[in-house]
Amino acid sequence: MGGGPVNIGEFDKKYFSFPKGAVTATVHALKYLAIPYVLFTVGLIVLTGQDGPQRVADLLIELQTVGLIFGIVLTALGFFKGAYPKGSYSRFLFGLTASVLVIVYVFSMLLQGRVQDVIAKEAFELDLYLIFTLYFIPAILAVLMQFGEFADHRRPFLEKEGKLQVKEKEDPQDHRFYHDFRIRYGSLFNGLKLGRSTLTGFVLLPMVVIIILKAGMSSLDVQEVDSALSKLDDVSSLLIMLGVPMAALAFFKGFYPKGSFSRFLPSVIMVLISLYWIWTVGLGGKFVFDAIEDVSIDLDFSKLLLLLMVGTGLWIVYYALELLLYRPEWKKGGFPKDLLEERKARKEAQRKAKEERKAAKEKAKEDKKAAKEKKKADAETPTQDGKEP
Amino acid sequence: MSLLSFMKLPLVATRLIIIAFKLMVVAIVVLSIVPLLTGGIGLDLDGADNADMTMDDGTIRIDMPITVRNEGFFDINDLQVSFTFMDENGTLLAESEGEQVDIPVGGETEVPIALELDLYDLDRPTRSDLIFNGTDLKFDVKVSAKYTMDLVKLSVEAGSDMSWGPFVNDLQVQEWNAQVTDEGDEQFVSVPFSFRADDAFNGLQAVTVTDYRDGNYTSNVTQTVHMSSQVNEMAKIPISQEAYDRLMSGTANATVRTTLYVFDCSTYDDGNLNMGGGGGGGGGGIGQPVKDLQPQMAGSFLAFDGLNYNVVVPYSYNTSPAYQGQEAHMLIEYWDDYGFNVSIWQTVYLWDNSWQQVWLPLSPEAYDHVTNGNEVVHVRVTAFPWIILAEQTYSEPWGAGP
Repeated sequence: MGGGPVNIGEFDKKYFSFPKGAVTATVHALKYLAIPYVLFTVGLIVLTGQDGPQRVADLLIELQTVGLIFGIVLTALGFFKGAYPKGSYSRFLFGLTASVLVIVYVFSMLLQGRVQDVIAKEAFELDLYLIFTLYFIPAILAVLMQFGEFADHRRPFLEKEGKLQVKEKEDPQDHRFYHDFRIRYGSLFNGLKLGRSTLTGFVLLPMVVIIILKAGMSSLDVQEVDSALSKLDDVSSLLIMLGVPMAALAFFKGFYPKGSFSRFLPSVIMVLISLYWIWTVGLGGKFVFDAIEDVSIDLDFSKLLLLLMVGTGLWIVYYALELLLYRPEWKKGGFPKDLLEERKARKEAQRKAKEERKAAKEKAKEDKKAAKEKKKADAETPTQDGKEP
Repeated sequence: MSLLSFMKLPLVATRLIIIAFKLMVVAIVVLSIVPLLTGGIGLDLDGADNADMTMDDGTIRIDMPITVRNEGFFDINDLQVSFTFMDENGTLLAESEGEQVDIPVGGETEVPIALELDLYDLDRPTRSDLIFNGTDLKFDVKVSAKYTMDLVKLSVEAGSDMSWGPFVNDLQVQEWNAQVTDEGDEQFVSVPFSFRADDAFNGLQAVTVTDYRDGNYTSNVTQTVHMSSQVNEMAKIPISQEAYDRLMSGTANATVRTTLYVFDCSTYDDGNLNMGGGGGGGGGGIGQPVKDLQPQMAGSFLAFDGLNYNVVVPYSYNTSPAYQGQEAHMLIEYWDDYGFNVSIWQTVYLWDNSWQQVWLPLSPEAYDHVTNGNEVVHVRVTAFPWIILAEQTYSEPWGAGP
């Protein structure tokens, strides 16, 4: 395998795919260049139209410059990352550099605390560094995802290059259901990706919303909001207590392939936790507001919450069906990892097999028809003595 | 379609059902909130300003219809307004539960809000306090309703104080105006009494018992009266010849007490009957509390303090011994022939040989009239609650003022 710790040969242009690189570069350009640039420009236009404060306009111009510089670099890195195949050192290096640079990009947008100062002057005290710390967790997971992708695709890459012998398929007869939990069936990239998105959706984004809400409410300097602030603290603790195990379970759900018990089990536990999450974050369907003297508002939306929970509970049915329907396919494929490329290859193989079957069928049909016609023609041809053959 | 794809249809279907569920919940939430934010659901409280208080079988009922406008997407069901009354310690006194009303989508619905307080739900001291003295009752109003296909239930509770009554007040026994009559074989002392009742009590019956007591001798008369905003009645109490004689000779130590019964609660007023010692013949008055009431215009003068124009009017009176030290309210009225008039109330204590003076504010025009020429002015002093008055027309000599 290769010729040293870093195989320079994998940077060779024979691995380079321009169209694939262009696709990734476009995605990066949109994500890191176009969207931020457009947002800052719109912000500037709105600000100019409403005769807004100059310091905000200055800030937006600076952010625009930061977005432009980092956006261009990330687009270029995205191009090279996409151009090289998964599992190659070349893609890994560009991917890793890009994901680290994204962290630097976001940190640079804080403009050494000036964004926070301007927000404090124009609106309220908001701890952007705390929000950045929260962002840092999924950003690190995004860096780890590059390692995951490399680890997942290294063997298929080498197999494809003929540098490694193709692994034999496992015999389904020897496989027991608890074997599903073998680490070799798992995809690190998929696990990290799902763990990251779950952590973001169930913990980090709600925490950011809570931080902003708390900052906004504290700026009101009204005693009545004290109880609401304390409730928000309770909700934050709950988000962490439920969200972190959910993210851990999501890792295993993503890690193991569809059709395995090792995916089914964490999926079901996740659904159960998310049901509890909905119920608890939804305050049990009862919202009591008694901050105003002598007035109490009691909102009971438990039925609506139950409806939402029924909808979420249906995921259990989904995962059960997924286990039942994907298991035969997974078994038949020799218990492979759930990799996108392999899935595509399997689909392609299925398509080809189908086409071959169809062609064979048509050929058989034509042969049959030809034989029939030949037989008919033979029958119609008169014999020399004028008798039927 | 391959067999594999066909087999995965249930997965697609389940996913679609989950998405449909989520979309449905989101749509319900959005459709519920939007009308609240855009003013599609609102209240018209004009009816509450025309609240109507009635009394029916011991229950005070206040009707205040409000109009609820529902231009949202869902009916409002089981809208109910309930009231809970408590005393100052928070002890539950009475509850009043309104009817449940449905507010359908697409229009306005009048919701009859009825605040009902059954007086018999209250204990007697509270009820008595409420009827005769008026009181502040704490009350909680609770508005509850179901919305969004009954998936959401909203309940708003607000607490407040509400002043009630008095519904019957100002019971006065006018013992100074009592009359003693001898009708041959029977003798009577007739004592006027009066009280006022709230409009809600108009037409209801009340019972009065007027007791006459002179030492060990007692007599009484019971009457049924219909309540109105101003009730003036006369209690005609039969008395014995001896009692009559003592009363007429001024040796009686007589008191009268009128007790008014409303909804099993009572209040009373009493007074001493004092005969002047004279009388005789067909009967006699029991003397005026304020005597010799007289405006002392000779001592009157104008006063200008650089800011206000005033005329200072003294008046004098004497007081019957039985009333000395009591409080009275004097109404002093002043007017001229140019259409100017002014009046002022003064609270005084009744003593013999009393001399009071009052500062009556004049308009600059009225002040000019009396300053620049000899004009005729009129002054009237009225003593309340007995309505004893004295009036004087005075050709003022004030001339050029100070």
